[in-house]
Amino acid sequence: MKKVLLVDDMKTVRLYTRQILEAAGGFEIHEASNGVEGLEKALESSFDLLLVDVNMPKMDGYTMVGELRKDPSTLAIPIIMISTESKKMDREKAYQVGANYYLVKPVAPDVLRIVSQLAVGAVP
Amino acid sequence: MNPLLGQFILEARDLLEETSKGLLQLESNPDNMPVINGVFRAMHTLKGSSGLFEPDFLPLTKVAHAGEDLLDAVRNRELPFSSKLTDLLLESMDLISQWLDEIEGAEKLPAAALADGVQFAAKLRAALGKAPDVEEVVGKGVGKGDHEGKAAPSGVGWLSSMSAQKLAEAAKKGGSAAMTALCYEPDPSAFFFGEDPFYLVRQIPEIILFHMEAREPWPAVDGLDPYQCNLRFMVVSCGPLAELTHLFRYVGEQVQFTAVTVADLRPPSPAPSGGALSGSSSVSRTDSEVFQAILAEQLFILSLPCDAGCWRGRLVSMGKFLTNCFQRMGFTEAIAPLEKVIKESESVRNFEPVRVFLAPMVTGIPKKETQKTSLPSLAPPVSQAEAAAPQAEPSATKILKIDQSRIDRMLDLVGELVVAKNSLPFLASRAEKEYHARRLGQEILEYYGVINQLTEELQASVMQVRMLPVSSIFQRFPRLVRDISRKLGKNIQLVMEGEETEADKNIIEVLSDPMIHLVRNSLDHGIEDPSARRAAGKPEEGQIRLSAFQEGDRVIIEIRDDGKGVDPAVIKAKAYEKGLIDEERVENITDQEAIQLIFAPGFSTAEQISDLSGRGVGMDVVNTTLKRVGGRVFVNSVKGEWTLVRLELPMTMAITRVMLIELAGAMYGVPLEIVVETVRVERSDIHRVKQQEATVLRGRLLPLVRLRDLLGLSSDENGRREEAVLVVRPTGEEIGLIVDDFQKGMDIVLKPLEGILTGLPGYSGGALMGDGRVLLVLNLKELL
Repeated sequence: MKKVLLVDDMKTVRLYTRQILEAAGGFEIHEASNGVEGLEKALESSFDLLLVDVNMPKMDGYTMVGELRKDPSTLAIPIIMISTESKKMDREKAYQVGANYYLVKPVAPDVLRIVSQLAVGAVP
Repeated sequence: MNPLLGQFILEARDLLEETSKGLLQLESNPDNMPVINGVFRAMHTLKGSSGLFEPDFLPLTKVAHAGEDLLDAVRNRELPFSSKLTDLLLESMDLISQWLDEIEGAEKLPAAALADGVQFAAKLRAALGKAPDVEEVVGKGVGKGDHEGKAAPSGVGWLSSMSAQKLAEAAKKGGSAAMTALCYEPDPSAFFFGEDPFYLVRQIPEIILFHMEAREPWPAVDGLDPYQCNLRFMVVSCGPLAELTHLFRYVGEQVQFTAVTVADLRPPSPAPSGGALSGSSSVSRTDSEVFQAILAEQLFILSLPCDAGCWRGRLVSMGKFLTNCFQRMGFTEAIAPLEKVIKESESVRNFEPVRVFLAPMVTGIPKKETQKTSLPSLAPPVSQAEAAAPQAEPSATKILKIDQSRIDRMLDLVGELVVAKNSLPFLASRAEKEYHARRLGQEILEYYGVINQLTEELQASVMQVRMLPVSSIFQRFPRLVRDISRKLGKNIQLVMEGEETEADKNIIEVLSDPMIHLVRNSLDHGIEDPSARRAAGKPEEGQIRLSAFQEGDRVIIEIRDDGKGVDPAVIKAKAYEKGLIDEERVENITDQEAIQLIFAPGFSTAEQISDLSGRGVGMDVVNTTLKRVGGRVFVNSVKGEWTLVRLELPMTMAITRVMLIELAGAMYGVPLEIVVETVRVERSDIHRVKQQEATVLRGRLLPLVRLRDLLGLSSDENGRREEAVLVVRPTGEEIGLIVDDFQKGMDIVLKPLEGILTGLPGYSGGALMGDGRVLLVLNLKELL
């Protein structure tokens, strides 16, 4: 089972993502509702993948990812950032702070599934 | 219901509330930037989560989107905030709210939703001063469609919008032959011209790619005209062009031919600016498409400048990410070489080795791309301050959203527990008396003590859970006052205070209707219209003040308006007319008392039944509603100046402590809160004073009442030497109740009397005791 952390302030979105990943199978899903919680959880246990929203209260996704890339224990975790913004500037910013991929909401279920499976190297 | 849908509805309602609240705030204070931003964000979030349910909730997304754009213009100062804008936005909130109700019941939007949504969104956009989008004003009978009406694609552009699979198959079939791409849009009235588009299309030779779509969104079935052609055909054929043009000779102007080659059939490579895959739910992607997109993005990432702090993270995480991708795709032979170049890059502190490795893997990217990244130490540092977000604030109180029925269940269980524990003393007593097991009896009592303690704490904390702030009722009033005052042409300000005051959930629920009625009274009959106020020398703006606060164990709600007040003379006259008071009373009744007459059943002074307050919900209903839960209502007023309605309610409702008393062989309960003490009075100390029995207790005269008589029970036959007297203070004066005997105090779950016993005066309810007997709890205020 691959451990995934979903970080998004909207429960609806977390539930949406959870449903998709659970249907795909092979994922152990954890959730956080803001950047601070996400940061704490990611540093506490070792995840195989982080799906991080950009706009969140307390600490946004950019800051959270930036912090994680500074810590040796989370330096290498595949991180996919998800945002409502499709502008080049936002995409670049995500990569600058260390995301490995960028998706724009609403993410199609099959794209979400495929990207997640690729990112964790799920056994086909 | 799908939990996702349920969750969406919950969140959407919260967002709507937030938006409405913010809009009302902005009306009085339009320059409040934080509030504008808050409202914008709420709309944005609503649009986002609605978008998860496309295409079903498309209308909702559209309206939210239009609202968001409107608010965006406001916050960019492109559009000034106005009352009209608020009206429009509030209207759209109402529409969405209705839709949410529909979704909650039917799990989908009503049939008219798309038409309504498009229309509304156009209205909202019109306020922006821009013409509505072409897509909003789609032709006749807009109804349910699976995509917006598309303009006819020009040239070969439409080819690239075909799915990769179709293109690949077409390429395979076509090979290196000459091909023609054609786009055929039959005249809508083709039927009446005797044309048969389908027949024509079926005649096209050597079709290697075929696609058919609707030009405009399909109307709903009742709006559909089956004789109008709404189709567009897009075909690639290897047949000779001459043959094709000959085939379509009669409809030449409706067809576009373009010569194409197999190269045009190649699926478009991930565009440089749109590398991120967006969620287009109509096109499904394959693993390899996504993989390709990912690879291309990695190259893009490597081209971005990077400072000393971030390069290592970028490199190592990319290595892990790509290794996993290769693993998943089965390209296991690429994994070891990848690791090698990652290590190499790490040692030279340069992304070049990885870039060189990846570039050939990505199709469609010319190999000559040379975006060499400079040594990290020399790159301009990316200011970390840019990416820094505001510091995390200390976490505020965590809030949990709970399904109300779960809380109710939990509270019921606690209530039952409280009652059940009461059986233990009985049990202990039985152990001792029936089974002569004194030790056992003692131990049971000991454990009862422990359980009692725990239960009391549990009860206390669970009662806290039931406590709700009155703001849950108050929050509807700004909107109500605004709408109604505008409707009536009156200028009214609403002031609310003490909204955080808490009371039991049941109490709050009971308060709701009476308060609405009272506020409407103030709006309708209380506050005068501007000209009347001016004539009276009052400020044109009237004020309604809602206050909530705690007084001891009671919650007080006051509704005060500075309107025309209550005229005692009018009340008296009306009451006399209705036969509620006689002439003598009319003479000696005080103004204060007269005002209270409005609570008398059968009284109502609404001169005209306005649609606002004249629904038969009179003041007497307010009165009885409050009394039912142990509350009271008072009115005070100065004619021409102000009116004050005061609601008094108990703070908690569920569990009552009662004192058990014995009367004529049965047990009754008296609320412990009114019990002062228990005494035993010698017969000889009971005197008769003015027809009433009384005794002297600590130097004061205590009137006595025989409860048996009061309840209509048989008189006590046994002459007693001393009487058991329960001293109570139901209304402020002390009274002694003569009972047969007292028992202990006990916690009970007070349940209202039902069925034929409902509304029986003198009893506030019944309860089930630990031993299964039913206890009637006395309402002494009513009895005495």
